[in-house]
Amino acid sequence: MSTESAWPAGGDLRLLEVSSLTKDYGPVRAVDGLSFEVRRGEIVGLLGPNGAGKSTAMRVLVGYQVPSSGEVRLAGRDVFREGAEAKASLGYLPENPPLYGEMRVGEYLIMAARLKGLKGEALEASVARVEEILGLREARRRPIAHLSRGFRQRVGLAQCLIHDPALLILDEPATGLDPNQIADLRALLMSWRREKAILLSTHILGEALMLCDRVLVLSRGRLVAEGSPQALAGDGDGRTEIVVVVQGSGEDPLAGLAGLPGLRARREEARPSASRPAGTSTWRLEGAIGRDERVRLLAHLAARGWDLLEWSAGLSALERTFRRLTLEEGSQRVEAD
Amino acid sequence: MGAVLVIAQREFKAFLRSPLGYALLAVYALASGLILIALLYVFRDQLLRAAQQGALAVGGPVAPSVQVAVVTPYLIDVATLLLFVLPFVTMRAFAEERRARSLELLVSYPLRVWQIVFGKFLGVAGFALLLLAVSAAHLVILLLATTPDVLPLAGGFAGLLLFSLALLSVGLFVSSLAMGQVEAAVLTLGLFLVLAMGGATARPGGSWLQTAFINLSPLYHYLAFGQGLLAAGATIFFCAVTVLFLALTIRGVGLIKWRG
Repeated sequence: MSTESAWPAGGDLRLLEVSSLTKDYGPVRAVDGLSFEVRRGEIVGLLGPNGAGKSTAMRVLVGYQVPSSGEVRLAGRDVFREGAEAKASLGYLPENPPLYGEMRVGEYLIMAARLKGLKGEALEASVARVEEILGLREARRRPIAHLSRGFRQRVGLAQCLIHDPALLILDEPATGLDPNQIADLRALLMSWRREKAILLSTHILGEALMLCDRVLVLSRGRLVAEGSPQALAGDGDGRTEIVVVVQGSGEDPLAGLAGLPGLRARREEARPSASRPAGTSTWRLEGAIGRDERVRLLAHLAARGWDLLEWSAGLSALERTFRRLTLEEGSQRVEAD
Repeated sequence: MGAVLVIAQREFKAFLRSPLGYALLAVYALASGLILIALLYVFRDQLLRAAQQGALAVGGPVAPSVQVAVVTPYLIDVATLLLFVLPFVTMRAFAEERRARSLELLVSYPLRVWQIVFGKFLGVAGFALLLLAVSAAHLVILLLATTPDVLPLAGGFAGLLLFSLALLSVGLFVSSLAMGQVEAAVLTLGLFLVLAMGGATARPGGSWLQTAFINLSPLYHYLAFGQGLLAAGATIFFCAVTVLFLALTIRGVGLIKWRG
């Protein structure tokens, strides 16, 4: 198999197709009628609380577990009937990548490349490429068992990318990474966005908001919401939440703000710090805050002499949506574009 | 075939990089060496007794044979030793990969289940060959120091190889079903001992259960090899067991996909 064969022929952009997927463990239904697609050029996030069925779903998607019913197609091929051919397009990173600790990094990557069908110069070039991308060149002679968690994660990603697959399935790829490593990982994922289809599971909502074009929210094995993270963040009751940090004189920077009906403001207690000196206050604003309302709010603050020091939006709203979708019994499926 | 060899190589090297591999080699070398030394002492005593009785003189009583006194009991004792050692060779193959979840990663590669199973089988067979190399060295020493018949000795060693491959395939099957490596080792050892003990205590012509135990006992089938006989039946038995249990192991790994 050459490197090119990791890419499906033809112009079909659907690299992962999941239809009515169900997985039962005895009487327990871990995944319940899951259907979705991931296309080339998309990063799709699989969100859900622990035990929602994300990892089980991923194990079925990569062919490690047989579904009780339903179908999974990787690059147009059935993962169970044409397993080897279907998986040629797949790069999979399980959570806490299970690597062979006794092997050295370079040796492990060569093994992964050979198992994925690479030979000769193509193999050497692929190993060199992933070592370069993931900064593993210095570590290639080190035993995997002696690596830090961050490096192990990088080795896991390297084996996943070694045959340049068109589809990446990544289970909690940021687990165990420090903030610098998480930033590096996000940059890598963004750089692959255009050429690959990426499905990643996470329960870090900020990550989904930052990276994903679309998120799928799983709860108790069921898909309870699907759409862009921004749309889901403002979904449901039509309310969003923003947090502002302002500095100025006076008690209430929002006093006298007309024209924003239904806006609720709540002051948050925060200790003064180097970045938030005395005279600053943090406000959590909740309501139907669209573009016009934001413009009006900024104009109001400026007119009353308040300096806007920080502004964050969306994340808490996504959190609220996530909690509502995953905690409420019998929640209805939500679709948001 | 390339992927099979890659998996076999990884499996084999894992033994050489783990304390378990060296522990198994040491135990096997020590135990088989002690068996040989004990048999050689007994043989020396038999020779001394025979010399005292004038058996070494022309026309005297029959002199003890190295084939009967050393080679045959050595091969049978080593086969018995392998019943205890090989479960620890196969225990990790699937059970540990499953526990560590590395099997999940392996299954996501563009491989077929038979390639994984055959790769594992060749890997553990490679390590078993390393163990048997110790016995080969013992037999070469016997060849150089005494005058055994070469063909029965070579046949006995080849039988040991077939015997080991059959046991390894059974061990791999148990490992594919077990949840952990200790469970795999205990179950495999228990199965081997039941078959061996059942075969040893049963008598031909007994009940159907005794007949079944005899026919299923790997040691019983190996006896013919150990005695230097042409053992076509035993060869077929060991080959059939190997093929059957490799096929069952492929099914066993398939079952992991159902059970998770």
